[in-house]
Amino acid sequence: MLMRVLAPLAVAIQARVPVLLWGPPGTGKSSSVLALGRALGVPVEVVIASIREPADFAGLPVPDGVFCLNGQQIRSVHLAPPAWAVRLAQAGRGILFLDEISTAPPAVQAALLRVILDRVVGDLSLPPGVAVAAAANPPEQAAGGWDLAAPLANRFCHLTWGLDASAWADGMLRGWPAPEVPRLPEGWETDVPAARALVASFIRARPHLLLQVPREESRAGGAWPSPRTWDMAARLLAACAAAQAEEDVEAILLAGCVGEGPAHEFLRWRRELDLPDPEELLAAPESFQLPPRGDQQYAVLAAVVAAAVREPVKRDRLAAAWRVIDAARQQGGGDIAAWAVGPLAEASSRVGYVAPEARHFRPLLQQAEVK
Amino acid sequence: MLPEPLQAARLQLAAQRPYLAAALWALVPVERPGLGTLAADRWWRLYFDPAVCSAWTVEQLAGALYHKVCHLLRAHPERAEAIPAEAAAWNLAADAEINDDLYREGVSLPGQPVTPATLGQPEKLLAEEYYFALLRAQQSAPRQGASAQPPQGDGGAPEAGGSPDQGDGQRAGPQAAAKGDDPAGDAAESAQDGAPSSAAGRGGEEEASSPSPTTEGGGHADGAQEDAGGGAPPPQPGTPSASEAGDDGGSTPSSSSAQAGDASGRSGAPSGPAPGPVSGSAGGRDGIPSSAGAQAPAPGAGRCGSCAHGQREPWEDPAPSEGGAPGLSRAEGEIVRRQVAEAIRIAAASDSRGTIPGYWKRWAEEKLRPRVNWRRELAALIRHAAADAAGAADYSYRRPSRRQAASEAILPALRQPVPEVAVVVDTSGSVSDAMLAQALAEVAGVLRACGLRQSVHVLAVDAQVHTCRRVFRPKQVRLAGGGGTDMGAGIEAALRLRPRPQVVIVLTDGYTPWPAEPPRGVRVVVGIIEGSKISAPSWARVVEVKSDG
Repeated sequence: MLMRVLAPLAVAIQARVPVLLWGPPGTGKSSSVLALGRALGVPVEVVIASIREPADFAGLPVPDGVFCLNGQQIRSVHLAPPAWAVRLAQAGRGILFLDEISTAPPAVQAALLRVILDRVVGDLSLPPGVAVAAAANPPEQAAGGWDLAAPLANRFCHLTWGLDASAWADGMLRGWPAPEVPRLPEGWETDVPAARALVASFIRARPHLLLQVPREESRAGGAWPSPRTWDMAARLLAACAAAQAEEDVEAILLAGCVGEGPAHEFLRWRRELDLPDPEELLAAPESFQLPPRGDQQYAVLAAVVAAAVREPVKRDRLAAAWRVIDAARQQGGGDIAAWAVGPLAEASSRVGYVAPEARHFRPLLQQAEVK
Repeated sequence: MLPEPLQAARLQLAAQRPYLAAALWALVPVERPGLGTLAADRWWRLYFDPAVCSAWTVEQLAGALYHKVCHLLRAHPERAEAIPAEAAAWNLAADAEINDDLYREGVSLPGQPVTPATLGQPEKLLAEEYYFALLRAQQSAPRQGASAQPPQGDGGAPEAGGSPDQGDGQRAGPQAAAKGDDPAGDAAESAQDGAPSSAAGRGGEEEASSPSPTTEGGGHADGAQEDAGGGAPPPQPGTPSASEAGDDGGSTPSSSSAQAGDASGRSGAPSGPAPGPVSGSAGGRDGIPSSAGAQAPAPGAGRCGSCAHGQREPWEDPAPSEGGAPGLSRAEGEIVRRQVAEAIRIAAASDSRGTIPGYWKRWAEEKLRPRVNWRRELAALIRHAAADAAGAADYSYRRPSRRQAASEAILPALRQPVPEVAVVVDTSGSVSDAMLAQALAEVAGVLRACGLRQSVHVLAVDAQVHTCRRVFRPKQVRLAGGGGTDMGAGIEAALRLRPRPQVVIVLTDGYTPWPAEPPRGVRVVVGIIEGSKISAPSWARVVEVKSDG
């Protein structure tokens, strides 16, 4: 969908995380980046990587004059940057758009590494306001295409460029509107440390997700988790929060950095962070408020039950848990409460505790023909 | 807050299929009085009519709920978008994909569920396959089915569209009539198929006119009752034998509903191109446009709402971001899917009695560890091996760069040596010819894309080398041999070729000894065809070639 990738693309470009658009030829990747540049009011330099040489990115060697060092005459060479790099450096900001990088020969891809990550072209450093975006055709669609080398792939946030037929048809009829994109406010980078802390504590809980180099050759050219991509992900998380982007935008960007599986694992972990503490609920069952959403209701109730039945089982904790469960039923979460109550009922009968609330569930259980 | 019967249905479903719990709890209930049924949208919002909740049995509610959750878990809205698909036809296709599985499990669904048999298609296909089959059927038989049975189709559509105030009862009646009569016409044409098809077809008709909501066709029974109140008479039941089929379907859904599906499948298959698709094309052209004009959903019967096709229906709220009731975003939906997949994987590990349907296990496996497309993987391996061996378009000073004139520095030019490639094909008896041909064709395609047209040898090998040719068209490869297997001999023979190949691609089923030492100065890519990976040397790059079925 056209609009679906555009918002993540805009966030990534403003956050200056290198972004790579995967998509078939002729689907408007370049024109969308140009439109984005107009919308953000920054210049765009389009460089087609597949017709360039390594020297265009590593700098063209130009001999300088002769100079004297320790009595020896030495000729030196400097690496002259090409014109597009000079223009970007003069503007101080802008988007460098590298088109067709997957069809560039491996030697050119290697030279691109330094441009993309360090923003250095020859002897010229691009100013920090320059963002790098790239586009690639999937190898099976490209003429003489290569999969992206794993080191290069791992320096990008990968976005899949799709098309929305109805949006396209609208555009054909009414012209292409300037895209409405989320804007990053000034000073958004102050949030980056907090996002990094969040990512760090996630990795502490799931250390195996820090680095997973794909075994398959065809996947190494995509998004996979590594310390570098998690760092990019943290930056994008902060950017999304600052731009008040929708959760889908965030999910697309995260999946583009670290791959789909780890991204969703992270989102799920983060969602469960802000649920109430089960111990507090056991201490004050009457304070229980049923969360608005079913999955949260289940998570909270399951956590309360798990805390109550933890050894050593105490009757007052069981009673408190029953009160929470019953409050959930009264507030409209009867089925979820009945589902979560299993271990609690078991523990209660084990210690011979008869909960007065249990009978409230009987009609529902009978109707559902469960036990 | 959910009414109690719906809570009971959700609880029952969770108790029967604990692995779906995460998806069930994630549904966001939205009360919609007067809807006449259950519906869900792509944001996981569950629309329910309190009146229906007390009219349907808990089993039927659970069945409808299960159907909705299947749409959402199988990502039907996203898949429709990817095609992009036309909503009505896609909805039928998606229903068919789900309902054949549900029938096998004995789930009871309200109304007249769409099955592959209704579309005249075999079971166990994907929604995409049904969808394109539907489109083909619609294109290839324009208006033929309509002229065959004009009274039902033409009478039904305007009536339903013209009286929106009477709700879905109006629509359900004519549609049931059209569908019920259709196979009956079939039966008249072919006597030997008459029995099963009329049983299936009139069974539905019987249900539609039956006043009891406990039969399988409860939703339509409901509609038919309203229908009668509204003045339009319900269709008359057919022969008495049909009522047996209807009763069976109601009392023991687990066995007989599967039979009913089979029966109509049999009736559809042998009746040839003209009558076969009639039920399908009638559904697509006459039945469905009439329902598309109506304002009410029909769960499982080709009108499920945006949980199936992703486009907003008149009874649905706007998207959560546009002021509708809160729902699940795309990302959250994906999280739920993964949660369910993990639950299935955990449950499947200790599922010795086979209580989890096989398709759920496959779905979970696919979700958590997507299968690598062997074509892609093989192509990537060959490309890399060829590129490495060739020194991959490197820069050389042997010929000066064309930019030399513009610069004082000495610049290298791009040179790309072309590597020699040998393909060793295992022709021992254990390899299936069809898979071998596919794999060979794939290799040929990749090599051609890499610009390697001339310098490829193909060796047919079992225990010894039989043929060695310098051509490369899969059809020209003579697959001689057929005895024991030794791929080591094949690799050695390949290395004796002059010029010596730098890349050797081996296609085998894996039942072969390998050399213990890696062959020197050559990259080896091994494609294991449909083998259980008996052996593959650690020094080679290996890809498993599996049939796509």
